[in-house]
Amino acid sequence: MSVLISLAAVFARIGLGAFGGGLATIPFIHFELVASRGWLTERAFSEVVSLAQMTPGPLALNAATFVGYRIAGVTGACVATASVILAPLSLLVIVLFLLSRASGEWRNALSRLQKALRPAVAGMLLAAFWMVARPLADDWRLPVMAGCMLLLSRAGPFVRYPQLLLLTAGFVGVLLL
Amino acid sequence: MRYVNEPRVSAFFLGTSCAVAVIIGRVVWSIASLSCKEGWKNFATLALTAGMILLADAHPFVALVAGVFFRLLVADGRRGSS
Repeated sequence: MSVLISLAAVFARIGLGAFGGGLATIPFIHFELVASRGWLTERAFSEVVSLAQMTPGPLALNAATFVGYRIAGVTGACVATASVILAPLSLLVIVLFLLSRASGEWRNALSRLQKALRPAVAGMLLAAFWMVARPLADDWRLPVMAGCMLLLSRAGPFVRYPQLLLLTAGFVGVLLL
Repeated sequence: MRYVNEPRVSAFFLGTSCAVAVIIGRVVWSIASLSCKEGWKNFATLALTAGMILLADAHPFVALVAGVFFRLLVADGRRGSS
């Protein structure tokens, strides 16, 4: 039971930190699950992020389902997924209610806050990129593969369907690694 | 997930992690370059937030709030401009 409560609390915090979309949750997932609790190793974290990117749906939602399942089975997956949806949804409802009653001055303040949030979210995304890219340095073949994938990502079908890039990289990995 | 420790499944995930890094890298590049075009204040905010997470191991929410406060602070001189 205490594991389920911890899962709910952790994924509620991850959901509440999802400013700037799914990729911005990667530092939160890393901090809560790898650095703070040790529920995942660095390797398992990379696998969860890869799996969450490969499957349809937002990254934080998929990661919640996978990690919840890994820690406490189907119940854990349901609890983690519900938490990561319901916590930011509740906050959104409250903020929208307050906004509907806000004066012009408050709306201006909110506009300034949004403008200040943009570069901070870019910083979060840079940290997310580093967390995913850093383990690739362990094997010299991985940065080479990443370089090839970068070139491939500019080709027509891979621009339209990024999932194709993920699948190609996966199969190249099976052949070479 | 049951087979994640199998060598071939593990190699598949290692391969996909290269593509995931590329996809995230491209998103970061487009957002960061757009943000930094608006001036050094945005670049400093970006560096502060990323630095707090990666170098100081700060909680990402603390880093985000620090970045937003910094950006609001340096914007006070010329409100409305970057």
